[in-house]
Amino acid sequence: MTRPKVTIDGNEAAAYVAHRTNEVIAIYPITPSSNMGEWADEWSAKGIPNIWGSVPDVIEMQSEGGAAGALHGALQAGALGTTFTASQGLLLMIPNMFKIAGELTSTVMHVSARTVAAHALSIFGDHSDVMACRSTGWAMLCSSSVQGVMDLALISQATTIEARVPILHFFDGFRTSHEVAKVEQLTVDDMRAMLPEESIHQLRRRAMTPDKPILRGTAQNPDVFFQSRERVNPFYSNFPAILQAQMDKFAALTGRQYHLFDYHGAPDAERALVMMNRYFAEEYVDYATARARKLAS
Amino acid sequence: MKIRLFRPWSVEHFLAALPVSVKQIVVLDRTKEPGAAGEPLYADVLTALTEGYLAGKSPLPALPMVTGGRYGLSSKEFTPAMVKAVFDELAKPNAKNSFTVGIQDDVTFTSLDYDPKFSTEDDHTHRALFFGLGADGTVGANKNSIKIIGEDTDFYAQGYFVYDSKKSGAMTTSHLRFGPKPIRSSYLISDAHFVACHQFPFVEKIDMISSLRQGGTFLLNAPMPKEQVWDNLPIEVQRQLIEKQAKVYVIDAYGVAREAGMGVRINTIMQTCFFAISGVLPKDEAIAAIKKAIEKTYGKRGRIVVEKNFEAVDTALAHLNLLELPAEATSTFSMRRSVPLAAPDFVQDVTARMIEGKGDLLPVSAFPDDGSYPTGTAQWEKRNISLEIPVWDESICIQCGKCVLVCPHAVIRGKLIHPSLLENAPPAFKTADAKWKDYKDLKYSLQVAPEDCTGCTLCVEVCPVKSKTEVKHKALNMAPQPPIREQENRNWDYFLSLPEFDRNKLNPKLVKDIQILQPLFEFSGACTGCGETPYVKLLTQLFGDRALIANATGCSSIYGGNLPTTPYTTNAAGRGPTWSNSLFEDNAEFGLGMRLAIDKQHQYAKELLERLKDLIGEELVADTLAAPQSTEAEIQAQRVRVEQIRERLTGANSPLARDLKAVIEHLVKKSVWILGGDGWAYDIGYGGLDHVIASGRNVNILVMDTEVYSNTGGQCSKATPRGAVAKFAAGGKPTGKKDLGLMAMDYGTVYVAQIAMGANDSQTVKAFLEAEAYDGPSVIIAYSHCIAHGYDMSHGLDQQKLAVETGYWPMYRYNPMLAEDGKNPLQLDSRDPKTPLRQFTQNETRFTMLMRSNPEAAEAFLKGAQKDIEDRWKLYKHLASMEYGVPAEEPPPEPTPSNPAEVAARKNEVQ
Repeated sequence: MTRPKVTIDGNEAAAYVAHRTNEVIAIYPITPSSNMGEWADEWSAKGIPNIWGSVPDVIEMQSEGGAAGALHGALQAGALGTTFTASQGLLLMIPNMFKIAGELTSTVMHVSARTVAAHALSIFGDHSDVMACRSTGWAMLCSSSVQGVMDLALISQATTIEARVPILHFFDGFRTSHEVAKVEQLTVDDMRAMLPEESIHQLRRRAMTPDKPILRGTAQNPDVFFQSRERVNPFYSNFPAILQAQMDKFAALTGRQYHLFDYHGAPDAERALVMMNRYFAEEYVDYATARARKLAS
Repeated sequence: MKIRLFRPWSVEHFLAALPVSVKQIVVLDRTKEPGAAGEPLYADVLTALTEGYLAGKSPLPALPMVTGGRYGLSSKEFTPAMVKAVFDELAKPNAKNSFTVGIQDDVTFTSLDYDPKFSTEDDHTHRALFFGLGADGTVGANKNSIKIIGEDTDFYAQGYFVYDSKKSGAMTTSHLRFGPKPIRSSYLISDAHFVACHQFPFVEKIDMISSLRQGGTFLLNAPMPKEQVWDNLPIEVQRQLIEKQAKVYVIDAYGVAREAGMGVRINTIMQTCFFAISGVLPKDEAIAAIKKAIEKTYGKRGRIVVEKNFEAVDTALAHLNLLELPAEATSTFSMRRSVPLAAPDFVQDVTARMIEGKGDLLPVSAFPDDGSYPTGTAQWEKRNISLEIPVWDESICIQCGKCVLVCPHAVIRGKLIHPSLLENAPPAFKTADAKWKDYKDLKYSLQVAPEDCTGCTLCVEVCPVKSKTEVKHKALNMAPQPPIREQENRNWDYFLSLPEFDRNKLNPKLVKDIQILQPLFEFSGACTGCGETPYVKLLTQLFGDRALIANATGCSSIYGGNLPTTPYTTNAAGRGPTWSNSLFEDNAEFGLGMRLAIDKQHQYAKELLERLKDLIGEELVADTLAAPQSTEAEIQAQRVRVEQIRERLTGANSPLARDLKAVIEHLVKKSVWILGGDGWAYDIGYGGLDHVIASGRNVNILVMDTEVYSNTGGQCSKATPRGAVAKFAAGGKPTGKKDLGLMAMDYGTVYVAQIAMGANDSQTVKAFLEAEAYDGPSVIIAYSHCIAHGYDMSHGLDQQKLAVETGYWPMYRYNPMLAEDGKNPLQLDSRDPKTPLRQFTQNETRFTMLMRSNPEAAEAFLKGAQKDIEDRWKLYKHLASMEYGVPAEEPPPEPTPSNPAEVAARKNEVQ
């Protein structure tokens, strides 16, 4: 299958998949993620539908805390929802993130990772915001190129719906979010193939509705909170395999193969470097490996 | 090893503090990070050990084995028995890692087994356990006992106090330890020398004796002669007492209290008994100490109070009796089931355990994985907390329904009944001819749920009927519950078994008719006489079968969603409010999110209908799309259409048809309600609330304004009025109340109502109906009397009336729909304030305590507050009298072309 080639930045790549695979999008501006919200707003204003043929509802909230609250509410009532943020904005979402994960809710948020202000504000990139969310119970998936952003955005969407663990999909602020690159654009067919309708219908069946009412967000006492908290364990132990399966499915579809951990370099290496975003290092590793080979031969 | 300094972590000092002999380390974290490789402390310890080892700086000869586990989440007990289990695990060849301790995990098998009987407690430490009610002074007396022992003797003392989260009739457990050695047992008592039951009904409900050690002492407050006590104990209690060779003491503490002129205050009496028989202190010494404490506590209130307490102490000793235990248990009855057999499985298997206080024993698999719980569980927990309940005099009742409306716990209900259904009625079931113009041939019943009533008396207070022959006799009168409990239980069950009256035949604008609508919020754990819950109940009567409720954290989320049992329930069709609490600060946004999801799925369903027109049939599609849904009957008709569509889709198996089936219920109107208190709406959630009402979306916001943070104990909020004393405003709040309603009205597109049920119930009803009908954001600010105001809640409705008459709480409705018709949208529903504010404030301690402590400031505040009222009323009058007109049709202005450079520049703007 031939797919269109487009020259876009990382934010647009994430927003593209997010807009086409969601129904409710709660947004709030913060550099360097604002463009994702802007794209979503623009596409909905133009009447561009999601893959099911309906135009997503995009709403600007009064803060990222509000965006997370609205997202939480929309997810509880059975919509496919997403948001975009970074830095302090992500920190404002943390209280809701604990609840969204604790309730095993499927959603992906796209984060262009940015420095959290300390002695000074900085709009530029590092992972201090993402790392502040480690205890929320969200899965975290890192992409490191514009193509990777688009691909992992879709893989995340498919995985969260099956695994029921929400996913924080992040990439470097500016370096990736604003990197313009030529990428292969995923098609509606790709997205439909990755998001089978039955899994969406299952998600709808878990929605809160007065036609079949439930109570969620109870208050619990010492007698039962701990046991209930451990009840989610299987969803976390199953997650890696589900994600890999989705990555494999995606590879079969597009030819691009991702792994939970992608090793790059000589198979007999004695020194390894571990980092989130390997692209910075790959060029050097290739260079050094080639040089070492040359010297060895 | 105990960590003192967690950050910055010092690898060097950590390694130096470990004995070099250590070969195994287990790290216990009191937190959980789902998905992490390990909890934080465990990860840090591993890092430190590995780093030290790799750098050759570790004093340990080898890298120790390290495992990690979780304990004590949400105050789960952590005892020496569990510590033993942790060490025992290390000794095993494949010691568990990432384990849990203190629970039974039968899902992922992380938990360690422990022996609950294992104890390392010092036998010289005296352990005492007291079961009481929140209101009976048990906790206060125990705190006093600890003081006496701690300060008057060389003994060390410790106390833990455990409360359940019910706001009325809550059980308290006090765990006290005394002894010659310092007490390090930082866990609750399970093997007590002394167990006291301060409330006789507990013997039937709570297994207390299992916590009593062999040969221990059991003290029981029993309201009966000592000869009758034994036969009134359930068989399980008798057996355990005999088996444990317990020393059983009984006293009729309520009788003694009455005799000593102490009313129902049993705390001093029970405290005296404890000292007299526990042997912690020599008896005479103990009694002297109690009397000294009484002098100190009550001295200020005058000699008479002190003498009464002294008398209570002396009488208590005279009425304390040791019970001879027979050799065999002879009781003819068992402990009460915590829930009836008719309850659903989940309630039997899980909820019941929690009610019995055995929730700790439930394994992980007992719980839902995503925190979703069934509704309608409060009906199974019969709490029996009121000694008096209202009794209906059908002969004089005018069937107005006011009692049903104001009942905070939905325990008094009206029903219209076809006479043919009464054939099998229990003999004591009361009815009267229905006083409805259109239903004269029907019968009317007003029934009380005897075991759910909290005895607040609001129904009696609001009853407008006075007997012409008997002074003080009304159509409702309080009477002792025990003699009529069983009879009324049968009546209540029968009442419930009768079918609900057709909603479409009732007028939801009338309080009289509303009493017939089934409440879908019942028997909550709210305070006796709560001023908030009648509003919530009303909302469920009117819209409950189609309501989604977003509830801000606070009182309403606790009485609404606190386990074990919860009050929201369903009607016969299985419909009812679905409820969730997200946070304190995000509730408006949370509710807006629900609205967005519903609207989106509604939109999608409509699109699919269009696309499936041929399959479903054009006419049905057109009717469904065009259906009005503003009345009950219209909504019912739409439900029927949806069923027809479902039928026509049965055979269809196209992706579109399947998608439609998944969202089809959204074709029926849903009602989103956003509930919370003033702490949420005026303070922490205001930014979100403001944004949500500005969004124009169709959500309904109910602010239950108690003018303080009630759930946390009554702290000042911006809703607190000038001069009121609250926590965090101990000297009286110096500034006036924020006018939330006026701020909301400012948009011009928001429906706003300020209401007080006690002052005008039909205005309340109108506000709810108009708010729900308005296709945009609505805010209802509801005056809610609260125990934090400091007066007897049975006068709550009178105070509401005064609040309105003084202008302290003006009532109004602002309906933007009126402006569209050229009318002024603001209608004032209360009269010009004529009564001085003082008449309202003088009845509430929140105002009067300043009158006592700082009369000058109080007078100044009162003057200021009186002026606030007058100024605000002038403003409202002005706003309500403005001329509105229909705006002339104007062509819309040309859109201004946006400047591309400006747009580009904005994109790069920095937050």
